Amino acid sequence: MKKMIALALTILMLCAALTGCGQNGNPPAGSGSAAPGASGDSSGSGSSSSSGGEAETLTVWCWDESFNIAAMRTAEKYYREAGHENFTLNIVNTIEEDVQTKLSTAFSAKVTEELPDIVLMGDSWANMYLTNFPGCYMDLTDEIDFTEFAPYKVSCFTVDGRVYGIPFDSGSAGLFYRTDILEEAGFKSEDLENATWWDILEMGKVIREKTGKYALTFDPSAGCAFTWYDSMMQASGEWFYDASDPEEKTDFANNAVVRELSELLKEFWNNDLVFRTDTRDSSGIGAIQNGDVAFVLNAIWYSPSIMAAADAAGKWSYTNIPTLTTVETDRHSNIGGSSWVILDACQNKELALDFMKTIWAGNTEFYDDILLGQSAVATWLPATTSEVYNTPVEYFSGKPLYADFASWGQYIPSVEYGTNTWTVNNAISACLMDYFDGNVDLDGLMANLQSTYDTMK
Amino acid sequence: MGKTKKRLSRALIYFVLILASFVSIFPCYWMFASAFNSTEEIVGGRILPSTHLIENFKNLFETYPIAQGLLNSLKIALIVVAASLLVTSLAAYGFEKFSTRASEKAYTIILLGMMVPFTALVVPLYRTMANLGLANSHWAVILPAVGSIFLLFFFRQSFKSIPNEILESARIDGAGELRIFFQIVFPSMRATYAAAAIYAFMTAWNNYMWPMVVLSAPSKKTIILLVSKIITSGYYPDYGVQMAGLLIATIPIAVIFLVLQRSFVDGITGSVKG
Amino acid sequence: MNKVSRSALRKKSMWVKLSFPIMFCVTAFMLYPFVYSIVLSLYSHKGLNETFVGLGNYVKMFKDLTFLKALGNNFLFLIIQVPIMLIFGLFFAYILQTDNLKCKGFFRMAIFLPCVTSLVAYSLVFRTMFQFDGLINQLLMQFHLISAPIPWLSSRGWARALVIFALCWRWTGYNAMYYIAGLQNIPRDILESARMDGCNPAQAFFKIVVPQLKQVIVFTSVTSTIGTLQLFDEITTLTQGGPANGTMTVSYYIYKQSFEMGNNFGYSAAMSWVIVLIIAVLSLIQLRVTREED
Repeated sequence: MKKMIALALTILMLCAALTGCGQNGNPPAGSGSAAPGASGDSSGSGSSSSSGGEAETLTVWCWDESFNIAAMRTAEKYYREAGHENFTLNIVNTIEEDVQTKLSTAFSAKVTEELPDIVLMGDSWANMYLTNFPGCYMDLTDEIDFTEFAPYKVSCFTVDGRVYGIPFDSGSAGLFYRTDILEEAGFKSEDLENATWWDILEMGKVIREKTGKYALTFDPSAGCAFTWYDSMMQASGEWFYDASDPEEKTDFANNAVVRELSELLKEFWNNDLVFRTDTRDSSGIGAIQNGDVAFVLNAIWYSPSIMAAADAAGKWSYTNIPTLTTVETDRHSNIGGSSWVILDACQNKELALDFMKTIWAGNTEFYDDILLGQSAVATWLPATTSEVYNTPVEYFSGKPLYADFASWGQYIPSVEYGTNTWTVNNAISACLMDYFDGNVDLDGLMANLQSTYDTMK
Repeated sequence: MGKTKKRLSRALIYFVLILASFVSIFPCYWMFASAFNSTEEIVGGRILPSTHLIENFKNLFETYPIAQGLLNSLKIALIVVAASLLVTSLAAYGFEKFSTRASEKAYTIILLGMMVPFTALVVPLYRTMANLGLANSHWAVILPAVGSIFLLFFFRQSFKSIPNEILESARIDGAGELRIFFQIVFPSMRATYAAAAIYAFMTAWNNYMWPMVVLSAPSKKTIILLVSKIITSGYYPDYGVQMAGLLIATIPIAVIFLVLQRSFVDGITGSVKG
Repeated sequence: MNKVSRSALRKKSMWVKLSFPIMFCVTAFMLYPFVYSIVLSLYSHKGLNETFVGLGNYVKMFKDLTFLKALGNNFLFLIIQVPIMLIFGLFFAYILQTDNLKCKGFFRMAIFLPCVTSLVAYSLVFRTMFQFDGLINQLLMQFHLISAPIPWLSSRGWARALVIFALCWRWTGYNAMYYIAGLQNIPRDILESARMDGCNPAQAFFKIVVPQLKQVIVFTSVTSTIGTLQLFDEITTLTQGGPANGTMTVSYYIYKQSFEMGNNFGYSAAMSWVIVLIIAVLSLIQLRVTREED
């Protein structure tokens, strides 16, 4: 009993002590957080960052320490060398979902003090955020020459003819594969040339039988829809709906891509050819790095994840993405990729714009640097002609990985994603399992997709 | 005959308890052991601790502001404990010992607040905090946690056991209500306060969604926010670092709870009597 | 006379003074935002673009297959997980109070241990353990209990089972604590005399312990019901509502509708009001049932 009282008292005293601490410690913290707000109220002119040109600071939100963040760090270095010695970037590691949550919370609460100056947006959801929160982003249309960027990237960030994003990394997609697993099952790289997805299915069956390896990783999650349905849709040159239609009405029953792809994935799934995890999930990445699967459908930005497993060096290769049979699809498509957006609430727009213009839309050396450092394939076209892109990559059987994917980029059919891509993806992930399990037939799946999409949107 | 049966049922009870203990402890043990292991060992299914603890911790502390996160969590949790205990117990005392028809109505309305899913409050609450100039400050996390409805209910249940005669006689002696509260109620309810403190501390420490939305500066983040994103923040899933992070985030509450476990139960005992 | 009325007067206003701080907190940080969400619920949003739809959101949600599925999942978890957890909790609490139990301290610590883990931490640990090639599948394969890995996270049935198991793991000890506390309030001599009368432990449990603990049982079932219907943290980390919305809960769907799919805050607000209504009705029923028995 005594011990207990003593403990309770200790806790309370500790609390009291730390409350005191908190109060003492708070004024600096409080004034720190209040400062940007205060300077925002005084219409930016008094903001410490722009006055005198001494310290130039911009805040950036983006994800992926070794990719986006590292690229921004490099950009910071190049901008300093370009005559802005006191330039610093305050880069906040914020994962993609958190960027979405925080942006929508802050925008809808109409509070902009806590927002960064520059933010990274995924191409697939950018259009939704640009449309849903008008006036929150800086209009870049007349500031930057967007003809120098890959058109399909620019269209993701165009709303009503105005452009709001500076395209960053390429989502140029391909089919990565393990040459050793293919060989063990009696296949050659040439077998993949001009292959359809149904050819891959048949190969997958042989591989499973002969080597025990799986063909692919996926599960009927939103990530699966994102990787498969979105990319094959784009390869067909159309989208699930017409983005110029304000209602964004879909017609799944007559969507040949969705129909055939669903049939195909069902075959993969039910023949036990699938390592049942999302490709982008940590366990999916682990499976790919361990060599549990033979094929990976993904974009160039996924290559660092593959290359992180040093022991598989030289065993990987890649080719263009296979085609569907009932509908004409291009062998080039896009998966993911992201771009930079300057927020309208940015307190030092000129600096932010100048920084982006000088480095991200004007410095080829910088792009060479992040290509070699982070495997970031640019969508700023002048950068992609650089000699560095032809560097052979030992990991991928000595092929010029970057030059290939970068050159594929210009063939990617341009489509407008509109504002409901995430809704479509969620609808697909919601309905696919019932079809795999045989609870509904293909027409039933399409009907379910239609009603799920219509009610969720 | 009866004896064998009894012995059998005892054996069965021990068997069930051992099994349950194993199921309970294993995930915690595995988290602990995996903090010592490299990612390859974890993926390979190693169960015993290996030698990579220091490496994992080094990576963890180099990549994430862990020390700052721990401090932030501690600061938030302790302020929440102190403030919420004071606020809720005072109110519970008021509701229990000065009950009127109006007070009961107010109490019921407050209790209904327990039913509101927090997801519904995020946007309006964020706007409120922003208007108060508190977005991205620890106060935005602390203030909503102070008015804990659960603690109010908990204290009120416990205070039922305080005899009114004692309070009345103190009043006749001329003691003010606050003095009565701090000199009579508080000292006689220490176990209850200890239990409430543990509850408040754990809730504040583990709070996830709201801090995630409202705290954006890395220097303000709590330890839970920091460790929850380790696995998704790079292209190489580092399970070793992930587990080391989870371990660090869990140890403080584990220690507090296991040390004070008995007083926690004693404290609840007082409140479930009513 | 004068003294009495003064004290009565003081009494009347005293609760207001004492509860002022909490009233302020609850009003500012819960009631106000929530009332505000009523207004929101009458609009349909696409981010900042809002249209007045009146009760349209409430009509919409009962046609929204995902919402209905999420609601179904919430009830599934409620109906299966809450009883299992409470029964286990009660059972362990009772055993742990047995007088001549050996290693009582150890067992008690073991049963309580899961409560100290944070929701995010334990969900991440479970997610890692139950991966397709995770530890659990590896162990099961090693002991030849299964021939192919179990798709814990990619089959609806297994994922639901996993969520239920994880919830039970985390919360059984927590509820057991309340029961242990309640058991300590049952006078020893009642149990003693029951044993004298020839009651075996099982009979004593049902005839004495359960009725005596009724208040606590109601309390834990109300809080567990609320917790299950607001389930969010575990789902976000463990399954992300998948696969195929098999573990989607209303709270998580509200979150997705707000922050991932179209930023429809009005629709989210309307859905959360439905949850509040359901919780209120269930809590009332649970309280009423016990009151009638009295």
